[in-house]
Amino acid sequence: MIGPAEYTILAAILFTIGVIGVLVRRNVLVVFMSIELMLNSANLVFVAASRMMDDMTGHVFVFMVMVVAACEVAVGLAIVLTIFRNKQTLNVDEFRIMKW
Amino acid sequence: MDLTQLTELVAFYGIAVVAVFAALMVISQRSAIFSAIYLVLCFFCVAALYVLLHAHFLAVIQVLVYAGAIMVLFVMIIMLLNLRDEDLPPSRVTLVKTAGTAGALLVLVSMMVILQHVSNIDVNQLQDVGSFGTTQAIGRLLFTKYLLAFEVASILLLAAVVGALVMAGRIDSGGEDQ
Repeated sequence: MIGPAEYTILAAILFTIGVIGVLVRRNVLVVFMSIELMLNSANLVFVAASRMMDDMTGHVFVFMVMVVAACEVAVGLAIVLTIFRNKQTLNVDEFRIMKW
Repeated sequence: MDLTQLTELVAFYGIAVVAVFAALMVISQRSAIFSAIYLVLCFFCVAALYVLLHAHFLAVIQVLVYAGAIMVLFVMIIMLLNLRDEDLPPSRVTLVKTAGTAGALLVLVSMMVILQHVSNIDVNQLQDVGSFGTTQAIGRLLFTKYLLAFEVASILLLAAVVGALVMAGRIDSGGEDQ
């Protein structure tokens, strides 16, 4: 009954909400959370396609995406902590250290 | 339509509505900790969708890794940094409206493309092998066909652990020896 189109449309909606979160919010932690939302929408497309093609390669892809997401969150939050120690703010507009 | 199909229909649309609501709350809450809670709800909804898609192992891993590890890390950092709520200055309101409109357009366009190209396979005809989505099946794949990806992923995890430790061990005065 529920085909791949419904799952992919739901993933598109979640992805768009994630994109809006990254563009609009200034708190860097909420930006990271929106990135996780986008990653989850991509995972949903992978799993739906894997079900429809009856091939578990999609599941292995999702596994790897989860590994990468976990690593990214760990290192990204460590970076945020380090910057916060110096600048005492979590406003992405203030993160201009690399600007020439 | 028999009971199984009706249940699947109701379950999918119910979970989808909750997931979209949770995602909207993630990006619109002023306090970061509320965003984190709603994101946990969204992850649980995605795990439920994985169960609907017969991806049982991935559903459990989603709860364990995303909701159980990544969000715990987020909540810890939010509580550690303990900032006050974010205010939205007037100059940002137009950005929000523009981004919202552009986002709605993106969803609309992608919906049209998806409905045009993704062939609606008759799901009732899908033969479900008993081992689809189980731990055994994905384990077999990971250790035979995708062994290289598995090993590279473990090296990536090692690099991330070392990186996080190096960054967290540094103090303002320039680092200390452990």
